[in-house]
Amino acid sequence: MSDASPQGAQSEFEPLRAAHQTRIALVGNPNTGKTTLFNRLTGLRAKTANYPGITVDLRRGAMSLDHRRVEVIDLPGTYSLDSISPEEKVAELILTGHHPVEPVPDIVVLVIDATNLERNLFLVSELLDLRLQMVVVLNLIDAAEALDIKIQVAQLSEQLGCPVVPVSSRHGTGIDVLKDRLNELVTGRLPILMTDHSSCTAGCSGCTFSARYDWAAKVSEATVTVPANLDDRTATIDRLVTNPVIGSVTFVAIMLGVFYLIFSLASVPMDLIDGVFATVGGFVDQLIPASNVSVLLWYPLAGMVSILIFFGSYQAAGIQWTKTSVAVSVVVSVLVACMPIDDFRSLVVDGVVAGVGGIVIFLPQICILFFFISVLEDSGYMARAAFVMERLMQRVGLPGKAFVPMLSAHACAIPGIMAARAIENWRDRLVTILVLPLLTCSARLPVYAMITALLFSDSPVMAAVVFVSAYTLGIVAALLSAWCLKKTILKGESVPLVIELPPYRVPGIRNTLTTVMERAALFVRQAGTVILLISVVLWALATYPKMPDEAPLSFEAAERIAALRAAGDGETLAVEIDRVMAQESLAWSFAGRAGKLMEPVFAPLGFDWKINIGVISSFAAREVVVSTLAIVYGIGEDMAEDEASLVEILRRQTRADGGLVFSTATGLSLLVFFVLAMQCLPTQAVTRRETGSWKWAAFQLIYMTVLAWVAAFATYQIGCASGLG
Amino acid sequence: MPASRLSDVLSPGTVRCVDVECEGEAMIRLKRMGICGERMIEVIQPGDPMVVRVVGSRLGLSRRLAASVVVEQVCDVMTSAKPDAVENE
Repeated sequence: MSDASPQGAQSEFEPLRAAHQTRIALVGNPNTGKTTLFNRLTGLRAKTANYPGITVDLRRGAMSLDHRRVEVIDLPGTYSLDSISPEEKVAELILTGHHPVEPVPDIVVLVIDATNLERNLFLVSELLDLRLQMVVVLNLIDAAEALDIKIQVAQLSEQLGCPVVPVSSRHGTGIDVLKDRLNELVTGRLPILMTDHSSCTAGCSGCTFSARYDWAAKVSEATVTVPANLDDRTATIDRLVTNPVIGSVTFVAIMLGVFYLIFSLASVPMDLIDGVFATVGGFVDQLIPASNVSVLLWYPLAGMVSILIFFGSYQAAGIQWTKTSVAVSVVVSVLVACMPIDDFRSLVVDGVVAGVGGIVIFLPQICILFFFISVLEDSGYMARAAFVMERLMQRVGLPGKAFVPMLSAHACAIPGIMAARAIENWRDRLVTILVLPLLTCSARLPVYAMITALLFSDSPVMAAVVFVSAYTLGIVAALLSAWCLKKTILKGESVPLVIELPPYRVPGIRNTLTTVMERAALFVRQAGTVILLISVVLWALATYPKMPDEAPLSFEAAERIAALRAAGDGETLAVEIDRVMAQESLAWSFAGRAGKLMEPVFAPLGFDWKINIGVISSFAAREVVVSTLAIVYGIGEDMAEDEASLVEILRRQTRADGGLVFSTATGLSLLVFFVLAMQCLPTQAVTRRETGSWKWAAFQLIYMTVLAWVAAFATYQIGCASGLG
Repeated sequence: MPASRLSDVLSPGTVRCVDVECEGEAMIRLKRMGICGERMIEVIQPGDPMVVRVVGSRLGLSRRLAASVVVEQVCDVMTSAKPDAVENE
């Protein structure tokens, strides 16, 4: 990137980099407030970027130093340059100049925790060896002062041979001084002091780690005065929170509380979003004229709408405008423009608006979830949660840190998979990602509700038992699958715990909100665009080919229309006939044919071809199965919201042989299938993103589908054998 | 002084790390957190996982890993000489 500096006089003071924009990288241990400093320096304009392979998001932003724009990169937190996690690896590669894409930063801002200088000096020692331009930021200086820790900054700076700036990024103190120092480095007015840092690596016991800690102890002893009762407060809280009994109870209480809040707080905005999308759908429906007004006006207009949607999606998903992507957007837009107007209406209302609405509705839950994760992380509790869960999780071969992703997955698997990044070891992380979609997410709840209402509407106790069993089945399946994966294809014991239990701190609201916004944006961009694509594809599958006017109606439909004609009055008759026709055209479509084609596969599970259509359509989002069943059984999509009538009609459906379609055995089989089956392409897209390959996404789909089929098969056959068929 | 394993320490107190007998990732994870030769390790809460204090911070440590850390007892005089190793209970 060329430096578009407005100052022509730049060359007179021998700038660091005249050819490109100066790049500053923030480095530091976890829990040092590095991200808060990043937000402070760059404002809220950070963008995440990532490189091919396993996704590691690097946050980038820009700041202005004396009217000069410099780029700031927030490198993943690390304890040392000997990296363990994929994130730390990226930091290591960039700093050592081995990263394939990202060059070595011009200036390193090393953020260290003023309340625990000695530990942080270890990383300082490693970075000094790299001989980069460096400024050391003594962050959390306010906390250090509050604890009566006294640091002789000038002396420390002298020992390290680089500028040291005390900063409180939470309160903003010291930021201006830091900017001045950075400016001096950028403009080259500050001499680069290189200390002969030989004490660390030469002549010691052979252990470089030990030598560096010796050096850290020496420097810290010379520059810092620490009072004796340093972590009194943390020690007191920890005595309870890490206690095997009290700690476990606290943990369960906190997690239940968080979960209760996610579901209770999210319900209001979710209803609101549902309403807004229904209104938007209705509005768009009104907006599209009933018949082609003018061919000249209509074709370009429809094509334009399509191109605009493509543009937005490409922007959001970060797809480049290449020959292929342009060709796809143009061809599809031309096709869209040539559509009959009713098809266009259906595409926009049922495909695009409903599809986007289907994903946005989960946004409140996801935001609240990320809010709590961020609060728990910043307060220091999350490390204790991993500590408490360690023993239990180790039994199934997972680390304690896998617990948070598993909890998140009970709201939605996508944020769960995103949260799995906290697990350092790649194999442990992969196993966690692979089993997360087995846990009951909120998109399954409408399906569970429908089935329990269908089977046990007169017994609330039985309904509750079924709900609890479905949740338990998901958890047990996930833990067992993790155990199996660890014994087979991802062999190896989980990496035992070594975790810093940072001092408790009050989380900063600004930082928390920034994290929530970033994660929510990532969710919308990644999952939203995939959902849009899938919604449109599934819409097309359920719409085409169109049933020709002369096509014969099915026997069932003809009989029903005849019965309606004989009994019905004018208004309801038209509506009822429309429903029958919708049912017929869905049966005629690709989705309907696929449903029939798959009958041999799903018949042993007790599903008829209509249920199969529901299963296929639920790949966009599981809850779609409810509305699809409503259409396919001729109830009408609008009636799907009205659970009682839907259930009533579903219950009356009979097979050719006179038996009930939704017998207890079929209902339970369908429930088991939906607990265990993948049935969520957006999750698959996120799995691919986080694991870096479609291979794992495909594996996830296959193993879960096989598992679901086998379990549902067993349920149905046992059910039939015990007289529930 | 007799050498034993960190996992064998059953009551709170301070020990000195003599050696770390594991390899690869596990070794790096221990050593970079300060559990390496000649460093003081204060056991705050024994058990599995255990809580220790090394180089000024509290660490949660799995027993499986603690078993690979060779430690020796230190006398109290040495403990109190190091400010961050003072037990504050």
